[in-house]
Amino acid sequence: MRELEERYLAYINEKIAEHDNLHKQYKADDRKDEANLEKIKINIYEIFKTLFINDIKQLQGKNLENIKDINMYGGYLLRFDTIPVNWKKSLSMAKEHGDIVKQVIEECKLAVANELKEKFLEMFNELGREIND
Amino acid sequence: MTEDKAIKLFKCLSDKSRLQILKSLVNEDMYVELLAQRLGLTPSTISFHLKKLEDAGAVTSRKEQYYNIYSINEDIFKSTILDIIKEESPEADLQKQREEEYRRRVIENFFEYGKLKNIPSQRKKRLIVLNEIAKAFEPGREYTEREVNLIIADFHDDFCTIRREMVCEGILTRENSIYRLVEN
Repeated sequence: MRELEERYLAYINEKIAEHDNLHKQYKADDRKDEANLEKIKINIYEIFKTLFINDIKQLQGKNLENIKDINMYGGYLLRFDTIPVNWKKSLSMAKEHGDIVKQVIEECKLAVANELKEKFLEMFNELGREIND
Repeated sequence: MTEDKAIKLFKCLSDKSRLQILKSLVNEDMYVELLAQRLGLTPSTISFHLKKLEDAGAVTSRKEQYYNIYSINEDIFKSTILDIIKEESPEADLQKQREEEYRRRVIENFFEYGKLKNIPSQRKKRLIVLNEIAKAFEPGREYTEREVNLIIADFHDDFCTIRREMVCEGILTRENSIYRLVEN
């Protein structure tokens, strides 16, 4: 499962680079607010990257080559429930008060968190299949 | 147009996507999805920009069936930049504007959707916050302590501290457990 960790971190790094490019492009194009939205997305990728690195440190020293149990990563997966709680609250308040600017920002953050969770599960299942084959 | 409004408008216009939106609206009134299609942006990005343009007074919106239709606010664009520069504000007005701007910022930072996020520790800011809460009280009316607590609890859970502060700062008076708003 070290491969999973490497692949997942590579994916996050790719996304950070991709959004960093967009941020620079928008900034150069005088689209400051859209550039800021890209920066917000980068921050969320960075947060989950740091948490992931921290969480997998706990697994160091264990032989994970043949472990196929998703619960090994339960701590990290739980982050996708705990971290966005306030974003969800904030989004619902923004919707209630017609605060479109805040709504877009919160939706951006939640979309990144959701994407990272889906990607992690997808990679985990893919690698599990490869091991079984 | 006041200086504040002019600055807000200029800041708002210094964005390529927003200028593209305005260019489209000059030709015809449009709704979010149509603008998104024409400009190749997502509807949420368009809504984001339209909200900023609306707040700066550059566009107006009206509801038509299921859609919010946006139009350019021609009046605001008819004044020339020279008109805006030439406009003079007396020093007293400027001072008042600065104070009002400071008050607005404090309220914006400490309140979210009408709820007080936390009680400011700095007295100047705390006074602004307390005076904002005082707007919920009717002048001349008598309130019991329970009624005062209920009103303040709509803003913040720590109604005891806020109630005491309002009395200490002379915003409310308390006599025989009856509270009244002090009128200025």
